[in-house]
Amino acid sequence: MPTGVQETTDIPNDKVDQVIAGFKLDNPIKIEKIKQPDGNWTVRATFPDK
Amino acid sequence: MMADLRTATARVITAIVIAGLVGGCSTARYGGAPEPSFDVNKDLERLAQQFEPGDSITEFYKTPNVALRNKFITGRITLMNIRYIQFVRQLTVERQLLDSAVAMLSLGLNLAGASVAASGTKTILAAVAAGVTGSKEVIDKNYFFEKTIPALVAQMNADRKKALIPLLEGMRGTPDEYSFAQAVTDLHNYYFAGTFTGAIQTIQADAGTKESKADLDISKLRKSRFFEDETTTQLRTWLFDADLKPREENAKKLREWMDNSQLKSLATEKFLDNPDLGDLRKKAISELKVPKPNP
Repeated sequence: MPTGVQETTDIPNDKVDQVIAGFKLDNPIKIEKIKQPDGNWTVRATFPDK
Repeated sequence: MMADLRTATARVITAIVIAGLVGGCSTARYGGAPEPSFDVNKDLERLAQQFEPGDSITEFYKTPNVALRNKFITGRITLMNIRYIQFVRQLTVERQLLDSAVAMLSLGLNLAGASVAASGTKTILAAVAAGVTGSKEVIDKNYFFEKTIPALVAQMNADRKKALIPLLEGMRGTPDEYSFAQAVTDLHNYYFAGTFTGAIQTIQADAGTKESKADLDISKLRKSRFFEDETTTQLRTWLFDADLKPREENAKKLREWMDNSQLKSLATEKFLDNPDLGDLRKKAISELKVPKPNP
């Protein structure tokens, strides 16, 4: 079971959905999709600590 | 007639058991090595008498100096070494003797059982044989943690070498630089290094360190820039359909593989898009037989 906060940065626009789908495989508590100033995305997933 | 049969049976049992015990002992006592040409136990006893602590502590405090302190340290080290050798020898020799003796005794009883005609006698012999074998199993299970003895002895040897260093270094210093009290503490550590408790503590501590290191490595993998190569594409195609709907069975297989590959706390996505995990992705593809995507 994944734990803590895990994130991927600098995701191109056309790949962001597959990254979100990838994180969803492990049922995170929360998923955030954050737009970066350069137009790419950061996706942050939060899992239970333990 | 019945009395003759009992006497004959008793003789057979006695002969086989004695032959077994004597033969077993002589071959196993020295663990596959030739019998020593000297009496190890007597030598150890004499050395122990020579290095008995006596009044060396009192002597030191009368006139504290390097020579007396070092005499005390070397005396104690030698004594501990002697006792340690006796301890290790006892562990291995007793185990070998026990195995050999019990196996031969059991074999002797079974053979004797097969060679008599009377069913009552057969039953008794079989019961005794079963009892002996059963006793051995009980002893085996409790006998110094079964097969962990070699590992514990190896750990004790390594720990003792490490614990000897401060003593050897300390002996070069003056009594001010390396006090008698410190020497006693280091001697205690040296003794403790040669115990099962000490060995188990080291093994546990090593395991803890390795686990922390593994956790640290995982923590580095939790955040990274997006990356993809052909292994990522191959795995994603296997994990999701064209609409990004997960193929549950494949996702479960990969999760199990990760859990068994020290990646338990890492998200599947991080396994897919981390630039440092290309080799592991290749390994997963190979072991899970992930097909190549259609062009």
